[in-house]
Amino acid sequence: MLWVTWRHHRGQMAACLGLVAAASMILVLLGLTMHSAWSAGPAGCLAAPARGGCSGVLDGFQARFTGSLEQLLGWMNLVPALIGAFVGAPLAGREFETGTWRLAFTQAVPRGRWLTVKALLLAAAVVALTALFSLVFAWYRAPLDALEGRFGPNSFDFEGLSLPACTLFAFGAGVLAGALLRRTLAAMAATIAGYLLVRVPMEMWLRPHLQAPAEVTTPAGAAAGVGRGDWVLSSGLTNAGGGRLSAQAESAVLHAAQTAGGPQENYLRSHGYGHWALIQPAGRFWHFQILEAAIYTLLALACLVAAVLVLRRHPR
Amino acid sequence: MNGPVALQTTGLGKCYRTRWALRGVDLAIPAGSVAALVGPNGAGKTTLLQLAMGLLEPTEGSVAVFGAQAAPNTAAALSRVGFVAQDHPLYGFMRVGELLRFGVATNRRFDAGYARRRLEALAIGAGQRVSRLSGGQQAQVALVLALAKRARLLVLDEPLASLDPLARREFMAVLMDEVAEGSVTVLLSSHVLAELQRVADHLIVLCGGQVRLAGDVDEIIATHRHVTGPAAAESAAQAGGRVVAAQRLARGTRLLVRAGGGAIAHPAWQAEPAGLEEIVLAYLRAPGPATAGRGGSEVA
Repeated sequence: MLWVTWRHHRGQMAACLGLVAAASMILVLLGLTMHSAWSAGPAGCLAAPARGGCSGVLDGFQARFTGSLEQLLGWMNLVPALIGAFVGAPLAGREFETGTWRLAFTQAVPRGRWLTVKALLLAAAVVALTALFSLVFAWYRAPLDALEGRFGPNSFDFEGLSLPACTLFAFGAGVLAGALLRRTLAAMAATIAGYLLVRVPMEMWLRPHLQAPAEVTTPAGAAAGVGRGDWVLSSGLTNAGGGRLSAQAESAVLHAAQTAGGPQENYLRSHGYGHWALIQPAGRFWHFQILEAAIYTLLALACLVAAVLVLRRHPR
Repeated sequence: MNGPVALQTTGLGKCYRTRWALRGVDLAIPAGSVAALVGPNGAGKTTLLQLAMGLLEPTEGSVAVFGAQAAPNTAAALSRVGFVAQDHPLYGFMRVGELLRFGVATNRRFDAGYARRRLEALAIGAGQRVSRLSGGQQAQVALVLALAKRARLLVLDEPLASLDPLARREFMAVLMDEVAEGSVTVLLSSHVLAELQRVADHLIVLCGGQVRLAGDVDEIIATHRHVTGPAAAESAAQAGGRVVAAQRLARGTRLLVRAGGGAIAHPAWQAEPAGLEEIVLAYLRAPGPATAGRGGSEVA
């Protein structure tokens, strides 16, 4: 079955490999420039801060390297969907579409095993490829991560386990869609739709709440309680008693501070205000990665098991 | 029926949503026979064959291949049967040699040496791309692939439908070679009886999802007679057997009668042997499937 899988899917695997290699190459080239710029300026400044602070150097670095490319990275979220559609969906879908299911399922390999072996081999291949790409990506973005943390979507989605796990889920959804719909094109469309239907709510609503956020309160003027890499979910002002101000009250206070003139922090401190923030601390990165990867992996397994059952129960 | 049975169906039925494609099919195909499954388009032939192969799940009833009823979708059960589906599907992107490797990889005792010799004799090279082969060559490759499985029951769904007369002859030659050599049982379908008449020793006539006639070919020919006589004395003819079809002639009636044992004694009636094709046509034309269905199960 190893050879059969290879012979059936070597074209797809070659395409995936080519895609990952090309994207990695681009990242390496961009990364070399960024890393040398990083060690020339910001890295040294952060290690031994100059008298005026590093914000000037860091802002310059950030402005230079978080331009249009960073916006393009958002489109890379479609990579798992495409792998699911082009590798997962045709696995069973193409056999049904071309009629070769009648050839494949009348050899001596029971169709449940046929699907299981093929799906596991291909899943291993796409996970390995995307994991490799994640490593390249993490190296590429290390300087920016040092500035912005790793919780932003452009880091979190492509570093660590997130990309391989999402790809595994999209692949599983593709296999299930192919087994259910029995037509490649329809299965591909369903795969992309299904993936987005899970992925978007996961990122928008579930990820911030995978663990209860920590609350940080600091009096105005004091050293910042929120670290550079922390993920700030929401923030605002506290009154003298420590209670949170409503949005209306907050804008009134800020307006008053502006009218009073002088540094804003001075005004806030003299009136007893402070800052509060709900954060996911930077140290929780791997915890979140593992939780999300576990969810996607379970979803992928559920899809694959369902696909095997569909094929075994309703061959046609 | 005596001797081992290759394929047995009991009360077999398949319903697609609301339409019954097949219902109440009781069949027993003796091991070692070449069985022809004949019927018009839409009779349920493909459904019956795919049920026999485990490619479809029966809605009711059961299928047994060499007595093994349970778990049709296991390696052991799949090894017992070889199948060439309608339009002989193959992986067009593979080369012929790769298709053989596929056979080796997915079967327990695939005879690659035999397959190579067969294809060589047919002048089909291992390096040829399957999609570039002619329809006839593809059918041959599909047959060789199924034969090389060394299955005990070979099921062929309309194997000749898309072939020209020369390719049909070559296809049947390869098949018959194998039947003559080994102990393989063959079940093949067609909507044209003439194609199979020369090779089949067992016949199943399927129409409207039900078996109209089934049995040994020689026995079918031996038990059916055309009788001609006066219409007034039809009841006398019926005494000699069951009337399958009646044809009104200018002078009297011509009946196809299935003998129930006794000969037709009435002096006014003349009997003559009936050809297999005429018999089959008569069963296909017979109105009530229920009556014909009973006739079928009598023989089976």
